[in-house]
Amino acid sequence: MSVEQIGPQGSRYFPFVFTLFFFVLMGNLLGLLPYSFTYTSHIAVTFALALTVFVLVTIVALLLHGLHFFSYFVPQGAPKLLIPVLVPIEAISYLSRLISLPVRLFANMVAGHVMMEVFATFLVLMASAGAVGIFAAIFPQIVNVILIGFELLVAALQAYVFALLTCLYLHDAVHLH
Amino acid sequence: MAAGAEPTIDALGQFKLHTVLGPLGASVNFTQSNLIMLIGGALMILLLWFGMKPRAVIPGRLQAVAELPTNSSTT
Repeated sequence: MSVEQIGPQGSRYFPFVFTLFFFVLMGNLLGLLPYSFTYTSHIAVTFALALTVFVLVTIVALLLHGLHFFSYFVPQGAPKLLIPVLVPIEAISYLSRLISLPVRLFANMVAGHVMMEVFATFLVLMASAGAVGIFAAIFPQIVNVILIGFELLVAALQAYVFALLTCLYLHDAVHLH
Repeated sequence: MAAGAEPTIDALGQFKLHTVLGPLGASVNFTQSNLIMLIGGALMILLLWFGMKPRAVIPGRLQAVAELPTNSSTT
């Protein structure tokens, strides 16, 4: 993945992307076990990961291109007149990675776990509501079984997305355009 | 959750951090989150360690799993 996305130089960044991917994947998957805890459901954790990626990407870009790096904020072939408008937009979109990368992972994990908790609570409430409730309680249980499978997908997918976006950002840093 | 007299839906309580490993963990604020991080890291190291051990040309099941990330990134 790192070579595919970043190019021939990508193997230099492979250990970093590898570690990041498996840290996120383990956090997501272990969090699905009962009595476990999903550390990727805390924005402090995901934000720290994203900050590492962001700082690394910026440092790589500055090291490889020096001050030429700032030409990244000027899209190729843009009219001279539009440059004062485009540069702030590009800068904001660059900085917004720092928000979008952690929030994507954090929101996915929190949403899934809240859903499961809500349906598990339904299950307990219905089961304690009498004879009819015990039979009705099978429906939240079915939903939870489906949700667990769905969460497994989301766990792997979000880890992949996190690593893939890191690769894309590194690609931008290495090639600028 | 539903143990109290008035059962309510407490969906966010699961994200609360609490310290583990008794007073030792509490003194350095070692939470269950950190514990799972360590377990996850240890699992990965174990998988790679034992997965790479056989060094077979035709990998077994565990070795195939351990080699998967490196294969997909170098080809």
